[in-house]
Amino acid sequence: MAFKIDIITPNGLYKSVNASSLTIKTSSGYRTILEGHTALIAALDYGKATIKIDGKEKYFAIHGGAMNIKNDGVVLLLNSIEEKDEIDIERANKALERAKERIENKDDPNLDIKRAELALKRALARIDTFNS
Amino acid sequence: MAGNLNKTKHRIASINSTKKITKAMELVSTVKLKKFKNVMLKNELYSNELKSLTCTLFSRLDDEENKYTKLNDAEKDLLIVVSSNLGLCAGYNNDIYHYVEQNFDKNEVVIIPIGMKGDSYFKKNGFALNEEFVLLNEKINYLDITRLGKTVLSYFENKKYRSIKLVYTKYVNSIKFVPNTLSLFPLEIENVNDSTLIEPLYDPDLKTLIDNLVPLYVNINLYQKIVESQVCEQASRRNAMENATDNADELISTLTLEYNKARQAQITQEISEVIAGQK
Repeated sequence: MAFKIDIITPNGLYKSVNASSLTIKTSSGYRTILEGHTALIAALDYGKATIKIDGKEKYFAIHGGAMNIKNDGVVLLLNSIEEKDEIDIERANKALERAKERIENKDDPNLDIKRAELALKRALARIDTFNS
Repeated sequence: MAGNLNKTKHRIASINSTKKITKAMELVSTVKLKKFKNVMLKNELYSNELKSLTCTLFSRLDDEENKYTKLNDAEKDLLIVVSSNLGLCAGYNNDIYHYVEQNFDKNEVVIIPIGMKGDSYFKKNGFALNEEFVLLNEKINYLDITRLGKTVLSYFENKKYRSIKLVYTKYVNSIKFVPNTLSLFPLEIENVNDSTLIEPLYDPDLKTLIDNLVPLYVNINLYQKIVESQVCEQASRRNAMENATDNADELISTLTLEYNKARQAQITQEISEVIAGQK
């Protein structure tokens, strides 16, 4: 009971796997995709993706993109993706601190709040993935 | 006679050293060409998927709700023009300049030049410029290009320009490159004949999805075309340098012949002088 997942980034095909389930954060929350899912096009949020291959779960941090579920499988179009062991947890923790600090300093006129929020989301996605 | 001989000898030596330079530049651009071609090919998969996805979504959206495929109510067009940072790449930059001058009216466009050559040319010729992104193609990197994409999108949403176009060089084959225009806004959407009858589900909804995908679509178009231009630049430079090296070879062989003839003539003359002196 497996279906094909193609993970594609601007740098080419990242991975093509046969998985039994995929759990991913879409713009309306976490969704789990199993084989035979109906056609769905979804915007992806920053978060953790869990792919189950041969009974083993693999974790990835993803940073936005789109998902297209078709008859012959799932296509993930991602800006970037990192597998759990590729994540530099210290850097992510530092980025989290920095982003939090920036958001709390609301009076700073140079603050780009959107950018700070995105940095926060990225850091949280990495930390969440790392702790799985 | 001897002076002439020396002169020819010096010329051969100097052409030889120039040939070494052009040969080296040819090799360098060959390597860079391969690198960028590789990037272009790798990127194709993502951009094709994203394009087909975006086009499918647009084909299901009503025209009235679609703000991306209409012209804005403004006076000027924005042109993003990709040229090179370095010279010695034959007609690559000139082709772009001519193309821009032929197809657009100087008074109706604002140019964002990418590449220093184009920047100085358009400045000299009195075009209105926005010079924020001149060095964008010095080291091509997707993140930097998303910055341009963001700026361009905000210009469109604030209705600052009537339309936004990208002028780049299209790679036809390794010796043929043509300047071309891609309209970023209004979006160029190919009509897709969607064969699947079932309407897919959308998460969250069609309109929001399109709003989410358009920035990605713009970014990847920019990235792809800038890389393609870079491929053309390197290929053009490689061809130019290859021709220069060939010319140098030709010159050297002509000059060597000349040198040998002169040398032979000198020897013959000396012999006849010696024989004449003997008598």
